[in-house]
Amino acid sequence: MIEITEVKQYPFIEGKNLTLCAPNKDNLNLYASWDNHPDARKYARNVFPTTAGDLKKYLERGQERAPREIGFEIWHKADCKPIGFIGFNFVNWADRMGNIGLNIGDPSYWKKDLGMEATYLILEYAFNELNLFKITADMYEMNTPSWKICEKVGMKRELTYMKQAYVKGNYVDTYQYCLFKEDWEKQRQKFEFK
Amino acid sequence: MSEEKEEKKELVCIPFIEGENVALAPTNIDHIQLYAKWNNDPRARHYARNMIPHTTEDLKKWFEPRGGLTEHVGFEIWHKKDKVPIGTCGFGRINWIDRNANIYMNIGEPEYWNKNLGTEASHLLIDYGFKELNFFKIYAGVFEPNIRSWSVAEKDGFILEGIEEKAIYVDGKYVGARRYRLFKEDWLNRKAKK
Repeated sequence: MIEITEVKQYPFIEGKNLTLCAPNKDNLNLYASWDNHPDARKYARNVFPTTAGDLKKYLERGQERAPREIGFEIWHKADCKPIGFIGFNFVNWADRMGNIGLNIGDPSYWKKDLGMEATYLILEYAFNELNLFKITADMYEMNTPSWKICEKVGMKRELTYMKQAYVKGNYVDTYQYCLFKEDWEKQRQKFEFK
Repeated sequence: MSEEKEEKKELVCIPFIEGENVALAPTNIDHIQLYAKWNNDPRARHYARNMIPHTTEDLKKWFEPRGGLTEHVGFEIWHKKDKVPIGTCGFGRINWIDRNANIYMNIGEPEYWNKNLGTEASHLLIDYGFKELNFFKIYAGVFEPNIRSWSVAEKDGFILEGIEEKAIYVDGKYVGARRYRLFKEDWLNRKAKK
């Protein structure tokens, strides 16, 4: 476990239990510990080791005016520490489509509905601030917690890619979920966060 | 007139894969004016997602050396009898771990459409993907209105994996994307039967 000596955060989106913050270069070792964690990386497609130096390059890549990737640190408000990452793996500005990815890197925070809250926050951001039209998310078939979150927020499984990925010795299917802005508008009130 | 002669003189084919009517050749930096023409041609770029003009300077970046195992293998499609390049094709997003890749093709010269040349080039490319690169699965994404392309995919035995709803914005409206897949064993069985 990496101890954070000095607590620094740059809040960007406030939730009830969580805050989405700009990534912080002081937490590189913590981010690396998530990306390499045998359980956390299992379904996150990290088949190669990630060093803190790799992540430093990612943070230093500079920001384009319409970035293709957008990442947030997920900050746990009560415990005052970052617990994972959420963001867009890519944004296609012409088609107004974004693909989201979530990684609660600290397994002690799993099964607490926090992924659900972080997903709610990113969807609100996607539709209300970035004015995206469609959001997609993809995951391995056995990553049940991930697709359960998608179903809870009203995303639909639009595609199953047969034997698309090789995980722990077997070819497995991947799912693609999607949500349109108009469908989100109809049901966003259902969520109690905020 | 003299300019045209000069351009003709530069056209050289270095075959990599030989077919009956077409050959697949490495992309050639001397043919960059042609590639730029195809990428900007209103008919040829229609479904190719080229929404922003491509300059020859942009295309020169294809030829810059990149580190690591390539994620992209591209060919020029050479018309053997007419001795001219007529388009490009290849594999993008090659995933060497999951052993899959996205196949693409663009016959940039519209007068060579509807002559089964795309089908011939796709056979050469698929054989190369499975027999040389040892892919497990090849997939293709084709937008709904691009009937010519997905007919070729279906003729080649690609299976429709699903349709991504409203995935791309073409001609002022959102249209779906058809996702096709082909497994190596199915391709080889199919060829054995013929």
